[in-house]
Order: sequence, then structure tokens, then C-alpha cells
Amino acid sequence: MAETSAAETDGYRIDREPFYLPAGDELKLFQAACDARLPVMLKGPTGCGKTRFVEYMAYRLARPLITVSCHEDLFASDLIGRYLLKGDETVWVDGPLTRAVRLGAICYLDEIVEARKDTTVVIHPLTDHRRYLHIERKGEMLRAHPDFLMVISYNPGYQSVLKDLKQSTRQRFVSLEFGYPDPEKETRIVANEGGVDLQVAARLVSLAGKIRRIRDQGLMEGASTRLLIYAAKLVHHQTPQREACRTAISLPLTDDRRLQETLNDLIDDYFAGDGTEIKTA
Amino acid sequence: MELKSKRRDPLGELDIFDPDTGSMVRRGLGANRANASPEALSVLADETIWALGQEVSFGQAVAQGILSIIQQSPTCLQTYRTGVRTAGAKGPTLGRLMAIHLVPVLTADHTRIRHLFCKAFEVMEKAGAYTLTKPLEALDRILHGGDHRSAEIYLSLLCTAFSREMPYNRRQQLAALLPKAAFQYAPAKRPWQLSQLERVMRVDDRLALALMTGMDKGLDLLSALALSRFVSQGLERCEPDRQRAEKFFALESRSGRSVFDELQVAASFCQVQPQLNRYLQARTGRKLTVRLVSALSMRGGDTPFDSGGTFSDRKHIYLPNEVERFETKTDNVRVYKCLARFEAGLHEFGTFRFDLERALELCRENQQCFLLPDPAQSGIQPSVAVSDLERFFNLFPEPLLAEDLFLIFEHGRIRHLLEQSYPGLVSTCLPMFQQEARMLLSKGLNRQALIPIYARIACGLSPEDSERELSGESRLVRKTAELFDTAMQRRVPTAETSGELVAASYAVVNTQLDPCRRAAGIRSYQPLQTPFLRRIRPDLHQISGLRIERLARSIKMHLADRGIHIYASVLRDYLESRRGELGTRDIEKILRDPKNYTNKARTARQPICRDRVDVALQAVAFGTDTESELPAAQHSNCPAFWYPEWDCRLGDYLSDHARVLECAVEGHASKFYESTLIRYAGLVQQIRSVFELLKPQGLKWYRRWIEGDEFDYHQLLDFALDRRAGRTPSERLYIKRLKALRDVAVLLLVDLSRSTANAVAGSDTSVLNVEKEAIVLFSEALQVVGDRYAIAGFSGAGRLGVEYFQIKDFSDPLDDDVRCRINAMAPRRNTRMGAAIRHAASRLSAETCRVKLLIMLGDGFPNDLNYKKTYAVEDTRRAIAELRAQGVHVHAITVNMNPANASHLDELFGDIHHNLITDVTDLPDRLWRIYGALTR
Repeated sequence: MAETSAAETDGYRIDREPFYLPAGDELKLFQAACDARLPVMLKGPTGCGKTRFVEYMAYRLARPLITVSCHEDLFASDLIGRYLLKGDETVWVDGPLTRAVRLGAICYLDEIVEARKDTTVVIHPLTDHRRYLHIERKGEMLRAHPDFLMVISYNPGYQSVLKDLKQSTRQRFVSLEFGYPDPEKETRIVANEGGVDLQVAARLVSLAGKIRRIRDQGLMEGASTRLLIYAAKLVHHQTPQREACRTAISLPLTDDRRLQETLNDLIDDYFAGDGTEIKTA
Repeated sequence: MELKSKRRDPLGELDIFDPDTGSMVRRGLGANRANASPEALSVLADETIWALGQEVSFGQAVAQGILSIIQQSPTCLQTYRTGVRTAGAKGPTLGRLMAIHLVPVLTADHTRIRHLFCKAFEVMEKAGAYTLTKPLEALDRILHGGDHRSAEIYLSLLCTAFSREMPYNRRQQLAALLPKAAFQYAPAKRPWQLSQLERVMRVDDRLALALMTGMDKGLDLLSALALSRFVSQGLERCEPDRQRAEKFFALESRSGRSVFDELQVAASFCQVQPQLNRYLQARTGRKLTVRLVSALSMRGGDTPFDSGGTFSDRKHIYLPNEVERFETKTDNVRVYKCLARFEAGLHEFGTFRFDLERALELCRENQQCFLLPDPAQSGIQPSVAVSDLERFFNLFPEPLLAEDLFLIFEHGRIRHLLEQSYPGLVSTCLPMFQQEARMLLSKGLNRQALIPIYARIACGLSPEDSERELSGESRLVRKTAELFDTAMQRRVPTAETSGELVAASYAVVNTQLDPCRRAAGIRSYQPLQTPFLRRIRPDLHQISGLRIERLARSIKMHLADRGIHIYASVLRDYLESRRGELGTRDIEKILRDPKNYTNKARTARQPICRDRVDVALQAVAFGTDTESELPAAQHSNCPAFWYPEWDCRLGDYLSDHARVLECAVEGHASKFYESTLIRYAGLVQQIRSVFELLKPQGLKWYRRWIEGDEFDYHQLLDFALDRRAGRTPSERLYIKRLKALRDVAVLLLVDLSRSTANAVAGSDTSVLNVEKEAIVLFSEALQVVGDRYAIAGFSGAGRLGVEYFQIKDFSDPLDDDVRCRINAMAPRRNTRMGAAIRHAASRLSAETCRVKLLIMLGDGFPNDLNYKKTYAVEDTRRAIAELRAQGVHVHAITVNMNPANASHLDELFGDIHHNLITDVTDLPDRLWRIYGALTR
């Protein structure tokens, strides 16, 4: 296998270390899976740090990272590549998956359940002992670069029974489970990412803890770390704390007015009286 | 002749006339016989005999009536006699009514009421004797309650109502509704509510009927002035259009609603309950909900606080029925919220975790000047019903003062901790408490010398505020506040810190208060009055957790016998979090933390031996479920199916343990299905359009087809490229749109247990009825989207009598038979979920669809004879796991359940496989949405 040139991978390298606080031994496990060339599935609710983790690992392992956000109209050819006309020539252009296979990159398929079922099948030979990609149009059997690693993410809280991962897909991956970080770590994450002091971050995290307790009251999922960071960012940009929380936490989480009122009550417990009185409808 | 009558024996005559009534009268007279004048006795006998002559029941009523007023003045007796005679002359029925209902009127001894009663009786008698019975019964009850003002207005209302011309039906309706209304209204509000009703009645009886409907819907929350304004506005509308006014009064028109909303300032408990429950669950993460103070059965009314106020027990925060403290509704709702938020603090920061042993140790460590006796030395085993806090208070000469001091310091401590954790909460809620405290301060201090201290410590009022009103005691307030502030700074304060503060300040406060009290001439101690009557009730908390307490004490005692000394409160906490089960491993965990040891243990320094813990735990006996199995119900001709059941104690299946009987459902025709469709017409429209949209999504695009609806540009490009490159191009150039088969089969399994007959809060419909409405909408939705579906109900009693009702099978069309069967669904008995699920699974397995889904709709946990708690949960879990293994998706929807129990639903169904809908009235709107999301 030819060594990949630096120029090819440039666009996919992560130059600055992303901020990531390990919650458990996921770094070690990922490293081990990587060494053993096993594909990895990241399970967890939205906004708990799955994507950030992959970025961080790509940085640590110094590998290019190619991310594909999956959606319903994603075809196999969108992943593998196709011929294009250039002047009078026909030129083959690699899709993101093929590129990752050649470059020895980490290919990260975000929200894999969203993709069409027939699409997910093309990754099957890549994710077992065979490690090759069959490019039908070119008639090419592309062996994966030794550094190539397949990572997919999957949110089990996603409720549609019609969009479950097939067993044949599931059983090709080792799984790392992600949850919301513990309060102390989450506080550091929110403070660091959102640019607020530790006290405000701690309050945001404590607030999120309370909201996560009433998940089954109609919230599909609890307040994610990402939402907390958004709230913190708004605060950092001079938004009054209470308004920031309403904008970044209570309104995105639900459309149910009564539930919003409860969320606002909880927000008020922490952030009312910071100089802003908000008129409620 | 005269001599003869003097020697006459009236009761003897009565005996001769009717021995039964005679003996009844003798019994009734009893000891009073000596006091009754001979005249009275002869009136009694004469009138009774006269009435008996007309009809036996009339005679007996007269006898009873005269017996009840025989002690009253002769005029009174005379009035009674005249009244009954006049009425009796028109027939025994009227006479009897008069004989019964005149008694409370005369006893009330109120001229105007007597006058109005006679008038009303006359008017109603003219209107028809049938109008008399119920309204007069209600009058009796009002008078019995001593509410003369209401009685007066009520009588005048009856006069107005029944002197109006109206058809028979309406008069009958009024005769039923007026008494019901009069008795339902809260006594405090009844006078002006009735007088507004009368005001409307004078204009039109139909409007009055509408107003009564409106009162049921919430108008009773209005204050006197607001209701009067509302009525005025309604009457103005009557001028041009009576029907409009009717709708207005019944709160059926938009204008009626909006005027009502504007005028309503009182916040009622029902309005805030779901909101507060949700809040409390989020805030504390525990099974804590709000409850009405009146829901608590009073035990003797030992303190003035039993009648109202705010306090907690283990699982509930008790709040007043309604709040009308402020001028706007928002502010009154805020009162509820603030109360719940502060009370939650008690639970969050461990007020009820107070440990007597630890508190006494703390007092001794800090050399408290007040010497407390050691309760352990008395050698008496305290009752389980007496909490540590109460035992602590009882150590002081004046327990009530100690209790009040504890209240002050504890509320202060909670405020202090809340300020640290929830600055927003304190800044929004505290001002309200401070305002109340200021008001109490300004009310005068003689009787309530502790109020300034409370205001200062618990409400955080500034020294200027709390001392402005007093001169002499300001030093006491300042000193106590200093003591408190120092204690709060020392370390994280616990409930025991408050106890220590009580011990430290008791003596000083007591000596200072004594002269004060003497000056005011009060002998006994007057409990402190706090803002919104907030109290700490350790007694209630204790009673609601006796089982845990008993276990904790027993374990502690057995451990202590074996030389292991740990705090009872630690055991209590563990037991509570483990639902009353504690193992050796838990104890070992407790023992690993040196903070859990009492001082006694620290001095003894004995090594802990596992065996001793084991022996101690074995010594603690656990109760067992001893309910006997009832014989199974007789279902001789239903097809029976046998299923295994998982016994978690054995860790194995009991084969052929549960018998499921597939019962036929006798459908009955009614307009339920149609009327539901009409009621939810808007929603039905919406459901149809949403599910129509689900369908086109099911119209799938298939690319690379040989023929089809349009070209696939990707393929065309490839075609051109291949041609240029000299390869044979593919002829698959088309896109084909095909109706994808939403290959889904869904079975909706409805729990028909007895509890579904419960009424939905705030309405007269039952949980099951709302569920049925939801089923109607669900069927409509599925009809649109075209999925195969079945509906079934289940219930039963005992393992041999699990009933399974097939409402709609997969192959049944949604026809009138099915609709009738939906109508016929009715609450049955228990919930043996496992067997029902297994049977549903066998039904689903016969389907060939790719995706199979079982949706369970219920209102609680599985429960049947010998099928309880862990056993039932484990079997149900097992049954669900079996289904999932067969590739059937299981999703549960639970309605009407306390959100605090929701965490157990996670155990039962798995955390993402269930929905909890606390307010069942949301179900019709939610069920189809959930289904839509599941099969999106």
C-alpha cells in the first residue's frame, strides 16, 4: 500500500487539540480497538460529546478524520464516489468513505440510523476481517489502509422502531457507551467551552441534572452538555443568565408550554434576580 | 272537667293509640321526662295522635319533632303546633315535611329565618310539593352547621326561584340543583355566592342554572367583589340576548372565559398541582408531591395548625386549598410556588434526617449551657411513632417553645443553604416571606414575642426591619441572630446544628419571654405564628414511614447488642433508598465510613466482624405477603390458554402457571364513538393530515430502475460517462416511486384494571373513558395510514382467571361491531401483566409483518393476587424480554400515575421504551403522536 502524501490528508487533519475530558476509560478502549483494527460504535444521547471524542482521538492518534452526517437520501454512491465529466474526460472522484479507506483516516458516520438500510450494507466488508471496499463502478477491490478506522455513532433514545440498527450491522462493532459526564467534569467542560466561571458552570450543570430527572414527563431527552455550553456561551457574550438559559435550554428542549413553565421555574431557582426580569407570555 | 284533664296521662293515651310510637316517645324522652312540663307532654301526645290519625310516618315525624324542641319555650312549641297543623291540613306528606324541617328552624331561634321559612314553604308548596324535599334537607344541613347568614339568603333564594313561572322540568331541575349548590359552596363564601345566585334568579331562572354550571367550572374561586362584577357583566349581556348571557354565565363563551380569567385572583390548588409535582420531581429527584391540607385526616385537632398551613410528611408537601393573599392571580400562584420551593428545601437539606443521638453529642461537644438529660439513661424504649425531633423537644421543660425555636433555626438554616445553592430562588421567593413577616410584626408583639426572631433568622430581615417595632427585646433578637450566624459559618450546617442552637438559646429566650408573657396575662405557651403558617411536622413525617423506622430501630438495636454502634438516621436513609431492604454488604458499606459511628463506638473501638452483622440482620424479621389465592372466576365457555410465569425467587419459570381466558366482548351500541369524533373534530382533522403525511413518506423512491416515472440524473450522468469511456452503459436510468409497504402490525393492549374507573381530577369522567377516547382517535389514525392493528383489553383475578378481551383483531375491519366493543370496554379487576403480554405475543406472532409492535396502555404497575411488587415486576420484565427476543417492539404508555413513581417504570419497560402521561386528559392528543413518532 502506497504511503499517503501529507498534502492529501491536510484538509482532514486536526491541528489543535480539541478540549476533551475523559469520563472513564474510553481513551484506552478506543486505543485498543484502534490497535486491533476493530470498528467502533459510539452510543449515547445527543450532545454528550461523541463527536468531540472522535475529534480528540483523531488528534491524539494523529490520523485524518472524515466525517459524514447520515441522512435519508444518502446513497452508497455518495459514500463511495462516482465518475464526473471534466472537459472530455471522465474522472473518478472518491467519496468520503473511499477517501478514508485510501488515506488511512478515521471515517466517522454520524447518526448512522438515519441512512438508508441498503447504504449501510456497503460498510459491512470494511468492518469485519476482510477490510476491503468494493467499488462496483470501477470494478475495484480496495484494500483498506492499515490505519483506516470506521467509527459510527448511534443514539438509542431515538424512538422510531422502523429505524433500528440491523443486527448484522450492530454486531460488527465494538461499542463505547456515552452518558452525560459527572457533575464535576461537566462543570469543567461547560466552563472551558462556554467561557464562563466555574460557579455559573456549576449552576448550569446542577440545573441540567434536575431537568434530566423529568425526562419522562414529555422531554425526549434531557438537557445535553451541548445545550449547557450554548447557554454558557450566550452568558459569555453578555446575555443575562436567565435569558440565556431560557433561550438555550428551555425553548429548544420542548414546545409544551406547561413543561416549559417547569423548566423556567427551575432556571429561576438558579438565575432569577440577576438584574433581568423577563416578561412571560 | 279541669281536674280530670290535670290528672290526665298523655303518654298513656298515646300508648293506647299506637304502642310503637308510644314506646318510641318514651325512649326519646329518657331522662328529660322529669323536665318536660305537663302542658308540653299533652301537646306532644295530642299532636302525635292527631298526626298518627292521618298517617303513621307523619305521626312519628311529629313525635320526633316535638321531642327535639320540648325544652324550648311554650311559644316555640305553639308555633310548631300551628305550623304542623296548617301544613298537615293539606295532607300528611306536607305535614310530615313541615314536622321534620321546622325543627332546626325553631332551634336556630332567629325570627327572620322563621319568617322566611314559612314564606318559602308556602311558595314551594304552591309550586309543587315535589320541590320541597331536597331543598329543605339542604337547609337542615346549613342550619346544623350554624350558618344563619347563609340560611337566610338560601331561603330567600328559594322564595325567588319557586315563585317564578317555569315549566315542570326546569322546576324539578332547580329543586335538585339549588340544594346541591348551597351545600357544595365553601361556608366562608356561601353567603355572597348565594346572594349573587339570587340576584341572577330574579332576572331569569335559566341564567341562574347557567351560573350554577359556571360555579362548578371555577367561578367559585372568585372573590365577593369579583363575582358581583362578573354577574353584573353577565346581566348586561342578558338585555339584548339571553342565550349569550347563558353561555357567559356557564363559562361556555369566550367572553365569559376571558372576563373570568381577568377577575379571578385566587389561585386554586388544582391549577398548580401538576406543575408543582413536576417541579418537585426535578428539584428533589424523590417521590415528593403536593397534596391538599384537607386531604389529611385530622387527628383530634390538637393544634390550631391542623386547620391550615404548609408542612410536609415523607411523601407530600401539604398546601392550602386556595390562595387569595394578593391582588393578582400571578402573585397568588407565586405563593404556591414559593411555598413548594422552600418546603422542598426541608427535604433536600435533611430536616427530617435529624438524629437525636448525633444532636445530643453535638450539644455535649460544644458544652451547651443548657443541660439536657440523656434519654438513653431513662431506659425506656421510646415508641416508634415518636420521631427523634419530638423526643428532642420533649427534653425541654416547655417542648412547644423548643419546637418553635427549632422551627426558627431550621427555617433559617434552609434559607442559608438555599442562598448558596439557589440564589435565584431566594431572590424571588424570600421577599414574599419577608413581607408577610413584616405584616406579622406590625400586628403587635405581646402575644408573639418570637416573631422578630423568626423574621430576622428565618426570613433574613435586616436588623433595622426586625427591631424597628420593639425596644426591649432587640438585644435578645440580636444575640440569637449572632449565635445563628456563627453556627452557619462554622461548617456545613445540618439539622442537628439547629438542634444544638435550640439547646444553646433555650434558657435565654425562656427567661426573656417569661415577663413578657406574664405582662400579657397568658399562662400557657402560645405557639409561634409564621408567615403562611409554615410548620415542621415531624409527627406526620414519622407516621408515614413507620415500617422503615421500625426496621431501622430494630437493626440498630441488634447491632448495638453486638457492639456495633451506628446512627439510626444512617440506617434509615439506607433503608429508604433500598425500599426497606438492607443486606450485609450495605451495612459493611456503612461501617466503612467513620462518620456513621456514634461516639460510643468511637470510644469502644471494637473491630467489626462480618458474622456479627449477619447474625444481627438475621435477627431482624421481615414481613411477608400472606394473601391467599382466591378461586378463579368461572369462565366455562371461554377458550383458555396456559402460559408460564417467571418466579424471580426461584429464578425459573413456573410452567403452565397462568391461565388466560379469551373472553368474548358483548358490544353495546351508543354514540360514544361518534361523539368522540365530534368532540375532537379539530384534532381528528389534524391527525388525518399528519398521518396522510406519514403515508407519502412511505412512498419510496427507487433509483436505478429499468422503467419508471422519471430519469435519475445520477444514472444519466453515469450513462453518458460510460458511453464516452467506451463501456457498456447500464440501462437502469429511471426513478420509480412505489408505495412502500409500511409493513407494520401493532397491537394495542389496554389495562382494564379497577383503578381505571377512577375519576380524572377536575372532571366527572373516568380514566378509562379518556383512554377510550384516545383509542378512538388512534383507530382513526391507523385507518388513515393503513397499518394492520388490533386492540385488546386485559384484566382478571388470580393466576387462573386472567381475562383477555379481543376488541379488534388484526383482520377485523373497523366496523360497527368493533365500535360497539370499544364502547363496551369497562373497568374490571386486577392486572396480571405478564400473562396478558404473553398472550398478546402469541397473537402478534401469527402476523407476518416485518415490524411488530406492542403498545401497552395502563395506569399503574402489575398487581394481582400473589402477584405483587418485585415478583410482578420481574415477571412482566421477563415477558417483555421474551417479546423483544422475538423481534417484537414493546412500548408502554402509563397514564395518571404519580410522576414520583416513574423511575420504577424504567425498571419495568426500559428507560426509552415508555411514556408517562401524568395528566390523562392529554392522552387523546398524545397516543397517536407517540405512535407516529415510533413508526416515523
